[in-house]
Amino acid sequence: MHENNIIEEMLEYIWIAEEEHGKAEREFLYDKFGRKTTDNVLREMAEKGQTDLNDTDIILTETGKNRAKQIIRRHRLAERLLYDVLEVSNETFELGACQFEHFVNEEIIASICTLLGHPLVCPHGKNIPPGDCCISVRRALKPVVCPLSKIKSGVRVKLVYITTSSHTSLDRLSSMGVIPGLKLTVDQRYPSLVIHFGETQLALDRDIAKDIYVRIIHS
Amino acid sequence: MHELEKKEVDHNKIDSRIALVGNPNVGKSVIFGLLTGKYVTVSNYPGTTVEVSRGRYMGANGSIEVVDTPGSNSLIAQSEDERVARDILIEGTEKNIIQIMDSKNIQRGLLITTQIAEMGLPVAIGLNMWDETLDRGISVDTVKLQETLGVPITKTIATQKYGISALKNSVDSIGVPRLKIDYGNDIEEGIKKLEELLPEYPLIKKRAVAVMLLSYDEALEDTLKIDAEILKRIHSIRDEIQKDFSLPLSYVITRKRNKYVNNLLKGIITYKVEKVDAGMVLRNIFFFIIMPLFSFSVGYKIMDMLLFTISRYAGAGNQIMLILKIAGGATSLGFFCHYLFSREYKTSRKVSSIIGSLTMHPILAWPVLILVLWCIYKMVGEFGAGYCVDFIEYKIFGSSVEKSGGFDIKFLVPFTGIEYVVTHVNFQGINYYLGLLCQTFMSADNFFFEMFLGKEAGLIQVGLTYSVAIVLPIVGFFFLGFGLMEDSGYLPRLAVMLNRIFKIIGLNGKAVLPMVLGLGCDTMATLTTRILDTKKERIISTLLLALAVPCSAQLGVIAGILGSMSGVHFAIYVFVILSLMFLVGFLSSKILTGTGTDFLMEMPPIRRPKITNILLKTYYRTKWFLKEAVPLFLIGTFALFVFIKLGILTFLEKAASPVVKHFLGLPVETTKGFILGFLRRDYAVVSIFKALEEKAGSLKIDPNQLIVALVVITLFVPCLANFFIMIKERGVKTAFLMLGFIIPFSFLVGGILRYILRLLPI
Repeated sequence: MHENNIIEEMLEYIWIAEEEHGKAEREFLYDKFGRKTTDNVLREMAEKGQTDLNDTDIILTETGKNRAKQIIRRHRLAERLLYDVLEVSNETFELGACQFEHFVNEEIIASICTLLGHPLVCPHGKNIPPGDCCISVRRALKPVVCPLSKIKSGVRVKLVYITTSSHTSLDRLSSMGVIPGLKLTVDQRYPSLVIHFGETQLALDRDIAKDIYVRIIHS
Repeated sequence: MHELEKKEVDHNKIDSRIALVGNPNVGKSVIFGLLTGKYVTVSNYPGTTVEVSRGRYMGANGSIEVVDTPGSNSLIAQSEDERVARDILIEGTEKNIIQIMDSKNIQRGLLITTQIAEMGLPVAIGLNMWDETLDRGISVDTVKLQETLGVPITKTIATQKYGISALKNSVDSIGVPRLKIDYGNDIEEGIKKLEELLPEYPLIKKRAVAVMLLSYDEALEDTLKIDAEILKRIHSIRDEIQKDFSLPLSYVITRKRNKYVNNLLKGIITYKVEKVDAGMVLRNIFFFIIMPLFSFSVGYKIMDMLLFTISRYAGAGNQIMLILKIAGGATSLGFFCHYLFSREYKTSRKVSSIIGSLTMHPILAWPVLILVLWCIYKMVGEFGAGYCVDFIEYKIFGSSVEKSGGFDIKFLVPFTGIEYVVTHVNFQGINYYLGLLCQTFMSADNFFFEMFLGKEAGLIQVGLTYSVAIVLPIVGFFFLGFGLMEDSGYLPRLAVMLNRIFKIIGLNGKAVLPMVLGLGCDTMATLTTRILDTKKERIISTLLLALAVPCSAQLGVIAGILGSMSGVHFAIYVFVILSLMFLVGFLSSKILTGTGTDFLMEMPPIRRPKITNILLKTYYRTKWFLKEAVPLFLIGTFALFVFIKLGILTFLEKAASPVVKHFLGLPVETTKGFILGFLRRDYAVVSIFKALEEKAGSLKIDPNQLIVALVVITLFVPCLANFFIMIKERGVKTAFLMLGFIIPFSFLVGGILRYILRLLPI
């Protein structure tokens, strides 16, 4: 019985190979994991019904695909979390995500996914396989946290948090009453973003708006 | 731009002092005017009160001095003008405060009130724009609010002079607001620690100072001149508290304030969501008559202008032209109506807010802008710079040696083209009569006659005549148009539209004000660059104003000359100037160090402008301008006179003529025009045009030569007045550096343009 981690790593690798090259060949795996380990692990996976083996190509079964999808999802969500929220630097967040993916359970991943606003792609621009939480969001159109700059015009939103690095912008916004909890409506996006709340209408740069995170209110 | 009272105020006579504070754009300046009877330039563009005005009125208990402060959203200073407002409260001798609030936005006003309460200053509150509150179905329980705060509250409508005397009287029952915010244990402890370190202040409570210091108000440390040793300890206390919060302390504090104010207002403000059916007739007139007519004429006019540019090549008959124009109108009608009826007709929004969003619409706003500019051009360029200038210059002032020939009083019968002459006025011009008077005791070639009434550089004949004959009509009409744009709320919306473009040249939408003002007068616009936040932005805008923005005097003449040539050449001229503006702006934004700021601006609602206010504003601005510009024109004329007499002008002409002749390919006679450009930009245009005309004789002027000349003269040195203001605002070094760049650059561009134009098949 091999360690779960290696199986997970290999599943992940096969998934990525399929994503990038359309198929996963045994040769790829030999390069990465070594001939002996690969053969052993693959045999184990086949016993579990996760792969179909033929001479060169490795094809994931439905069970294998689902398992791999979960792992990829964890990995890429972890990347998003480390990169966007914790602002871990470029070199280390990849490594962190690799460790992360093995010890979080589905419940935690669902919470992280919700926290991040059910992102569609990882920081490298690859797709994040949707989980149950994302699908239910799509069906029920639950509130999503996203930057103000992405909100369509005419939509009413509630401010969740501001992450601007500039003190001045933050102070200027807050002294105008733009603080978390504020409900505002986006009037237009081009040529500049215009919002209104109460009787105040405010025009602002996209550079400021992308740091303001809001949730859509349905009413 | 601001009417400043420089008279020393007699301090013995003043019994008490009041400072007017409030958010930007709540009507402080109007109320200041009403309280004191003094005029301050009022506009709804934020940052217009850059300097502080003082005035006074007689209250029940003697004379009261009032200070108008720049609007600020917080007494923790974030920009230069907010600092001014805050420092007046801390440093000055003013003890009482009248706070003006926009009653539609009481929350934001109360944010300031909490800070005033913290300072321990007594305040009376004026809830201004009360009528707009009623219009919007917002009801404010002022009795309850007054009880909660413990300060007198007066409802006012400043534009209708409603509630002003009540506001004056309320000053007698003034009080410190009963507001106290608990900032939470961590911050409160820090405040206590700071209070122990700080000395007592004569006017304000230590708690307020402590809170401001915790909010990273570094300007305040400067103002209060806190001892370096103590400051160090204050900083270490602040940094210690900051560790407990992930967000800046200033933000945490403002959030607490916001929360406090929102709780306070529960039950005081109620919003009625009721459909206002009143004005249905007006609304339908707007949708079915005004807008269709307007949009049709927009399209028609734009097509007209387009056809004018290509008319020489199109060769189309009048009928086809008409059909094209009508098609243009119909297209525009279609687009506008589609937008209006699919998006706005069924909503219950007010007409003014529909216009508001129309003027910021990503596509439809552009034709509106073109039409607005065209209207301003018609008014300023054609009527002001053309007709009025000609009339005042040649008929009213005239020449000292020649008769002007008088003029007819006549009126046109509309649509018939018939002129009806009432009478002929046999007035030969002021200068002619002055000349006659002088010639009774001296000859026309006497030194003093030439100095005052000489044709080339006489102080009266040239200096005074030009400054009054040009400035009065052109600048006056421009300010009128500018005032209309300002008061209707169009100007800030222009900032929204142009923000992205301005970003490229290192500025942001806020810079629209100086740039548009520059089309009126670059001198005044250079003064207004003060409203920009960073030094870098101020330098870039000053440079662009001096280089590429032609003032209305120049623009009027240039448009007149080019308009009579051909549309293509006009288009080339506009294209060259605009692209140079971008190029220079872009490069200087890359070269100059420092940062730009992000665009964040409040949009005032679209309002119907009050004509009396605009006229008054125009009057005061023009008066201000005359006061500033006339002496400069006189100095400039005198300098020119000295130059001529000493022969320096001839020398300069000779020195510059090789460049003009061989590099620019222009006749040598135009050199004088370029040199005169320093005195008056439009005069240079005229004299070059005349020189070209004489050179061409009976032939037509070569349009390529004309374009080169006009481009060079537009880019070429700013006028003397502008240069003085540049020195004053940006310093001697920067001003001369700019001049040193502009002069060679303009000639270089002219030379290159000459060769490019040769290659083009025009």
